[in-house]
Parts: sequence; structure tokens; C-alpha cells
Amino acid sequence: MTNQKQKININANYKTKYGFNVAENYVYKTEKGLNEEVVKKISEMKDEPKWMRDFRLRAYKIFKEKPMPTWGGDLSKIDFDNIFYYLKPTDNQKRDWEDVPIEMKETFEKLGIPQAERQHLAGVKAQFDSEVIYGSLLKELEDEGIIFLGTDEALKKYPEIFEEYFGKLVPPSDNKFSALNSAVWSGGSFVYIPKGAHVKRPLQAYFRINAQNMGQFERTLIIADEGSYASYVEGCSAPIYSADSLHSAVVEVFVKKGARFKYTTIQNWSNDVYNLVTKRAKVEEDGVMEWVDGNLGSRLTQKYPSCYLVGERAHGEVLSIAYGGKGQHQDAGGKIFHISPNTTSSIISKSVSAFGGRTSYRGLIYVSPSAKNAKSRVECDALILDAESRSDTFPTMKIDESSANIEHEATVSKIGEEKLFYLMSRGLTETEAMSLIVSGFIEPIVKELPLEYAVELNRLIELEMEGSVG
Amino acid sequence: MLTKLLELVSGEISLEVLEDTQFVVDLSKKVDDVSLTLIFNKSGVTAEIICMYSLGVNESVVLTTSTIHKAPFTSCVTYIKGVLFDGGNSSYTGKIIIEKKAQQTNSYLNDNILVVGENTKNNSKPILEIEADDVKASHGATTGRVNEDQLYYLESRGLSEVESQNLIVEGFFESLLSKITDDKIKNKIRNKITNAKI
Repeated sequence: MTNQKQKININANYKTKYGFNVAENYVYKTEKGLNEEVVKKISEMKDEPKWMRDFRLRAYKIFKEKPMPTWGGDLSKIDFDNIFYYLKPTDNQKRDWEDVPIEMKETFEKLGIPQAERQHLAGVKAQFDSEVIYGSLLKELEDEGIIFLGTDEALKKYPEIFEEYFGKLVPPSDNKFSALNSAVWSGGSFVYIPKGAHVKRPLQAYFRINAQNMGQFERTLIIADEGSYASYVEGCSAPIYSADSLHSAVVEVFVKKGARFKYTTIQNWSNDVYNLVTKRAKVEEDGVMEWVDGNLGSRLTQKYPSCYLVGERAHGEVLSIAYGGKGQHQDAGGKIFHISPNTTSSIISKSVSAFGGRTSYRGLIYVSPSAKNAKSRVECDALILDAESRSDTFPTMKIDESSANIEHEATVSKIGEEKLFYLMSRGLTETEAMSLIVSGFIEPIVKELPLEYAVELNRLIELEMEGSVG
Repeated sequence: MLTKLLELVSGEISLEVLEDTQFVVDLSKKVDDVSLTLIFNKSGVTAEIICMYSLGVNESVVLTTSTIHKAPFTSCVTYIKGVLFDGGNSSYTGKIIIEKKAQQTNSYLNDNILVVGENTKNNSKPILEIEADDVKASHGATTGRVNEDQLYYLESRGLSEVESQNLIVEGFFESLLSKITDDKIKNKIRNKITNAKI
């Protein structure tokens, strides 16, 4: 069949668009590999309080003791001794774009970061290898008491808030990679939205790996206080090296009573990055947490954003979209823990695999005996575009309460002949019909994305379909 | 289509599907840990798995079904229906595996749990592992309590709460019983399921 030759290759032009690198120019870089000395050195470089240094060392011990996870993707090729764990690109974070070193400025300008800031955003953080090198926040938001800082800076400025929340949702012992992150974390965003504050425009962070064999371990901590609303968008990319890089972040989000927070990720690492991330939110009474999780890049991603619905009527949502191209494995999904009565949740996952790529949905819905009348709905759809690609679905529902109402639905299929036929009989070419169907398939997620990402994703699909052989 | 009654007692049963067959699983022995695997090695065959169970006070079941499609043009539908009374504990894993060579395969799995009692536990794991592209594989799983509106309707017609509940449970199973083409087997399963009720 001819139409099987037509595929979308979302990152066909990755090399020119994101895959460039600039010369390494750093203030400090640890030696390759990880040991207690490296952990101590990172803490010393950051001039941290003793409790944080002890926390790192404790986490390092846990990391060494924990075995590699054997479920999910192939992690056996990660060589922990061949990775740089800390690279400090500049002396300090800049508040004025003009002060950012030229090569970093060029990198982010190519990626369109300052431009986006001028147009749509309330605040921006840009991380280059291990450190946040640039940050800004609209003046009026700063006056309202909104805090948007690099995580390292926040530890210095707000030690009390920091100690109260840091590592409380994702402790080092949670899994091997959260232990690794806890030991060597650097950078990331710290967000505090005060009671009742509504931030209408999104806060954005952009994470860039530049150096070869680099490990990026940012740590993001977000607190949305009672009745507040805000949204946060993060994007990421890296140059293409033949050597592997590792990205292992930990994200903790606290959604207080009646607050609402939306966290959007567009992960577009190059195809040599292992992306192993732990993301978790705790949602209190009447709170709402939304995860929008787009995975387009990386060699292997294992990431399951989760919501702990601890307060009554709390609501959690995960929207996940994954594209698995050549040599890629996207193992993504979501987890919801219903702990309190009348909590509700939904997970919607859409994935496309092509060119021998693999996508897996992995998810959990847990209803504890204390969660009366919990409701949850899970929907996952996968499209396979050629015979070399594969798709899996591994959902788990653990329901320990009798009044729960849980629905789960999943389908895996290729593009339906009858849909193609219908559109073509209306005068569209096969390519146009294909592109329309794929756009329609991912539409529910794309409309949740911030404008610039949504436009870009749609454009990429159309572009690639036009160029395909019919 | 041929209908076969499988009495699952314990352990693993693995069968190759050689002709179009409907497999009706009898779980009335309430055995703890059983698994049924259907292997599709022959092109073009179709199968159905039909399985019903009703778990009373503190009864439990651990059940796994797997359909492994190795040959093209095969199809399979798996229907699971379970009712949980007080303390019932159900744990079900349903796998659909479609290998590379099994193009043009169509496989579907449906798992519905109706909760009648309190303190029930239900684990459900429907799994898809798909390596071929020209296929359709899907599953649906639901867990829900007896519908309050239906109960109210029946009770307002003069039925007691228990009678109403039983009627709803019967209706729940009947939609699946009606799919069994062999009347003898259908009646046998119907009797067992009805007797299992409290």
C-alpha cells in the first residue's frame, strides 16, 4: 500500500533547528563520573547550608544502593562514569538579557526564547547546562508577591519555605533517579504564588544542554497557595552528539486549597538523551492540578506525572502526547492517587509511532479505601504508522473502595482506510487526508498547548506530510 | 462457531486456536490463581473468551487471560464480567499481544466490574503489546457501583432492595450470557452464576 510510505517525522529538521552547539565556555566543571567528593564539591561551589549538603550525601548513598529499574525501557547503556554531573556556565544569573554571555544569548535567540518573552510571558528562566543563567519576571507580578527564581537562588533567599517543602513530595528514596537528582541537583525553577493571586500569562523555563556527555539534574519546586491560579511552561532541547547525555529532573508541585495550577512540558531533547524524570503534585481540598506533557524528543523517556488527591473534591488531570520516531522509545503516561472523598481525575494519552519508534503508555489509577465516590476516566489512543514501529499500553487500576467509578479505554490502530477514502472522495489528496487525520488525532492535546508550541507542532506535521512520497 | 466450556481449576491453561471457537470459562470453583492463554498460530481463525464471576463475602479471584496473535487475519474478543459483593476481591490481568507477522489482526478486550457490596477490592490491568501496524487492538475497562437510579426505579415498583439488586446483577450477566451460542452451556453457566449470589 502506498500510503504506508507517508509518515510524519516530527523532528526531521532537528539538526538545523535545535541540534547546534556552541563552544564550551564554563567557569567550573566537575571531573567525569560520580563519587562522594563530586557531591561535596557541588554543594561547596553553591555555598549551601549544612542540611542541604547532608541531604545530598544521604541521597547519594541511596542512589548507590538502589538497583536499576528493570521494567520499562532499556537503561543498560547508561554509563554513570562517563557523565559530567555539574558544569557551571557563568558566575551568576543575569536579570538583563544584554548581560548574558554572547554564545548563550545566541543559543537562546536561535531557540526564540527572548522573543517569546516579549510577546506572551509573565516571566522567564533559561538554564544552560547546570545553572540558570537568565531570569526575569514582570514588575507588577513581583509587587504582588509572586516569586519566580532559580532553585539555587531560592534556597539562599527563602530558606524557611524551601526547607518546609523541598523533597517532601519526592523523597530521595522514591526511586533510583530521584536519589541521583537529590544528590547532584542544580538549577530548575522555584515558583511561589501567594494566596488568591491570579497570574494570567504563563511563566516559562527553557532547559538547554550544551556540553557533551552532560547530565542535567534540575529541580523544580512550585507552591500554589490557597485560591491562586498560575501556569508554567517548560521546553528543552540539546545538540546532537554521538555520546549519550542524561536528563533526570525532579518536579514537586504543591496545590493548596482551592488553587489551580497547570504545568506544561514540551520535551524535545535530541535523540541521544536519556530522559528519566519524576514529577509529582499534591492537591488539597478543591484544588485542581493539570499536567500537559508532550514528549517528542530523547532516546528514551520514562516519565509519569502524578497527582496525589489528598483533599476533598480535588481534581487531577494528565494530558500526554508522545511521538516515537527512529531509535526512540517514549514510555510515558500518568498516575493518579485518590486519597480523599469525591475526588475526580482524568488521563488522556495520545501517541504516534513511526520509523521503527516505540511508544508505551504506562499508568496507574489508585483509589484508597478513604476515597468515597471517586471518579476517574482514562483514555489512551495510539497510532502506528509503519510495520517497524510498535506500541504498548500498560494501565493499572487498583480500586480499594466500593463506591468508585472508574473507566478505562485504549485503542491501537493504523490510520483507517475508510477515513482516508472518505476524505479523498471529497477531493483531498492522500497526503492532505493523512495530515488532516493525524492533526485531528492529536487535536485534543494541541489545543491545550501554549500558542507558539501548538502552531509549531501543527506546522511540523503538515510540512513533513507534504514532503512524503505518495 | 464451536463453543467449548473450560473449567478453570488452577494453574495455567494454554490453548492453540485451530478453528473458530467460543471459549466459555467456568470460574465457579472460585479458584485463586488461574491463567488462560490463547495462541493464534493459524491464519484467519477467530475466537471469543467469555468469562463471568460473582464474588461473595471475602471471596477472591486472581485471573489472567492472554491472547497471543502470531498469524495474520486472526481476531479475538475477550469479555470479562465480575460482580463484587461484600469483601469481594478481584484481580484481573488481560493481555493482548500482536506479533510482527500478525498483520490484519483485530483484538478487543472488555472488562466490566459491578460493585454491589462494601469493602471490595478490584485490580484491573488490561495490557496491549502491539508490534504490527495494520491491526486494530483495543480494550475497555470499567468499575462501577450499582446504578442508584435503576435501584430506585425497581424499588418504586415494589421490589425489595435485595430483589432489585439481584435483578440488576442478572441483567448485567444476561447481556454476556446471550452471546453464548450453545444453549446447554449457556444454561449451565446461568445457573451457576445465579446460585453464587447471596
